[in-house]
Amino acid sequence: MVAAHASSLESVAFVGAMDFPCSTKGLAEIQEAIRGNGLGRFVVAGCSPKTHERTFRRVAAEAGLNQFMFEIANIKEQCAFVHAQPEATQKAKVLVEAATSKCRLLIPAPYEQVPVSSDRVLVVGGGLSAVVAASHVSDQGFDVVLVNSNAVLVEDVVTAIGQEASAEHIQRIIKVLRSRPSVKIRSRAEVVDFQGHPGDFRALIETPDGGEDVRCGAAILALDAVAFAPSLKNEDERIITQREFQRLLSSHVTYPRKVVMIIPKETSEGTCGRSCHIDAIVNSLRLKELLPSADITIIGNEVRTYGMCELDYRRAQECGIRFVRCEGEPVIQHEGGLRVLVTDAYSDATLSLAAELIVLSDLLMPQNTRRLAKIFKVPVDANGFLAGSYVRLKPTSTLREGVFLCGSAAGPRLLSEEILGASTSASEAVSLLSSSFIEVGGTVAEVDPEKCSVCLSCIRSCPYTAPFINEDGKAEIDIQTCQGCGICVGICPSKAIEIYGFTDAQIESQSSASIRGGGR
Amino acid sequence: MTGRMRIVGYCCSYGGYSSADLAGVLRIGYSPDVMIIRIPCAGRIDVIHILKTFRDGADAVFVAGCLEKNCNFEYGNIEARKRVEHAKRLLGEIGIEKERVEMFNVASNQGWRFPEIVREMVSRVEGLGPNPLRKVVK
Repeated sequence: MVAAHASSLESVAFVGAMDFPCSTKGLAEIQEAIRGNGLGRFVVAGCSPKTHERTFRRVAAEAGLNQFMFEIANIKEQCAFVHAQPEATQKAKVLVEAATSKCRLLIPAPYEQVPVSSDRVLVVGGGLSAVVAASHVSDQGFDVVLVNSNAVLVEDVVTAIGQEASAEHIQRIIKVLRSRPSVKIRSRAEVVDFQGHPGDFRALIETPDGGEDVRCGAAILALDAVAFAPSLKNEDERIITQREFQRLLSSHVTYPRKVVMIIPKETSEGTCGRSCHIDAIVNSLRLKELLPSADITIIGNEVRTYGMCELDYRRAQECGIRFVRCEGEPVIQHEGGLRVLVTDAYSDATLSLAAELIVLSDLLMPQNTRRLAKIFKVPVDANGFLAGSYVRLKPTSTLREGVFLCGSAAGPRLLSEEILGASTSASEAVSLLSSSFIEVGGTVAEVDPEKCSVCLSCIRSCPYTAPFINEDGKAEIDIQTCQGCGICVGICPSKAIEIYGFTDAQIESQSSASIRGGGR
Repeated sequence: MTGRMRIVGYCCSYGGYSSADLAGVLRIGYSPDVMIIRIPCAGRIDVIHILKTFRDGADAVFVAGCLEKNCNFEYGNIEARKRVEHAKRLLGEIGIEKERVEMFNVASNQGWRFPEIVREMVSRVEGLGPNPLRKVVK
């Protein structure tokens, strides 16, 4: 019945009914029908385009059509599966009619296969994340250029790792990297320009020896945020940070008996690096192991020890470490013995705690990110952390295709998460470079220069910085950068932009046929 | 009301459309009066599409995009909400109830949510009656 209705529609030259259009047999039949009847476009009534769009693109291409010259009427998931008879058949007719009326207006979309011309990855950063990312990329046989703005790699390795063995391990990795001719390490260097497209980027690096032009297929921004002491820290050497405390614990001196730890509040100058609660608890547990009689109090707004670290929190409570919750900022008294004055949030009582040593959790601050973000066209958040796209599904991707993100400058994270992020971004970069070409085109937007009034609405609204003003002074959309969302199309006041596959005329005719179709 | 309702849902490929697909896979039925138009992102919707859909005789129109802060295209769903609000204002000016158009946010794994959206729009049309323009436009 649906097929009969379809053959009654305007400009339909051929209708074939088949059980499985997506089977090898079905696909061959479609190709035959296209060739035999000289069809210029076709409609598939069947499964969701989400599952089978690619299959039919291939069929269209093999039959000699532009591979976007077809439309899918979703009569399975969005009709047969959810509606009873006879409504389902009636609706299927309308869906086919609507798809056909859109199909009539399809325009061949631009399509290109751009070869991936470089098998080199640019890694920016000098911390642990950068080294891990670089080593993963290099292990898989790809060239690496590591651009480090500092003089040494992973400067703070002892404190960062907290364990001598891991520090040695990192030094071993660095040694291996240095020994490989395919790995170039540029120290005291900065990326000053970054242009091009995924698979074929061009970076300009400023090194102490002069400028260097580097071609690369992908880039990994592997910056680590810098830890710094909160404002409570001053000249008094009895006040130290958790990192200094870690060093003290591994240096076999006499351990302090009375310790007060303060987890500072997040301020505009820095954010709690996720680990500031965990550091305090883990370090106080270590002190308890070394000196069971130690008297430890941890002061903070709340205790955030997520994941398995909750077990450490419980152990800390069990072995007598005190937790004081306070809303305000504790006051440190230096005169006489060192004391911390704090108002307990539950009892409202002011406690005066004597301390031999006060340990403050470090705050984290990303450095250098705003400048780099501008060069790489990647957004930063209010605190200066680099912002990725879609943290749940694509945790290491940025809005710019081919540029990946890891390290704590992309958001505070634990060391284990830093390492995981670095290896993830390395695999992402490698899988991009492993493909022989990148597909460009399809659902992309295009500006009609005749209509463009250069209002810059598209430039402001595009999440991907695809539109630019060309030499003629008109907006133009770079199809290699365009992701096909169509936000610019709806916002353009001159109606100068159209998007292939979803033009105004196509959407309107599909919707009009949906309302009026099926003889309603 | 006489005759069938006509509801058009502009669904973003990643949120609304996928949610409708999942509703199908889960066999959660909904009114056949809703017609789904796929758009790449909710941000593709244009105020004129909504207005023309009413001119064509739709009783209600909705746009279904990804959850906020979870848009596949960063902020297409936020743009879409602005445009839907604009369409509401324009419809109000010509005497069409603004409840007839709505913006929804739905994730692709919320198969149960799409039929809920349809139920919501159907009950609104039941309350409001057919599109008043249908008396004029044939």
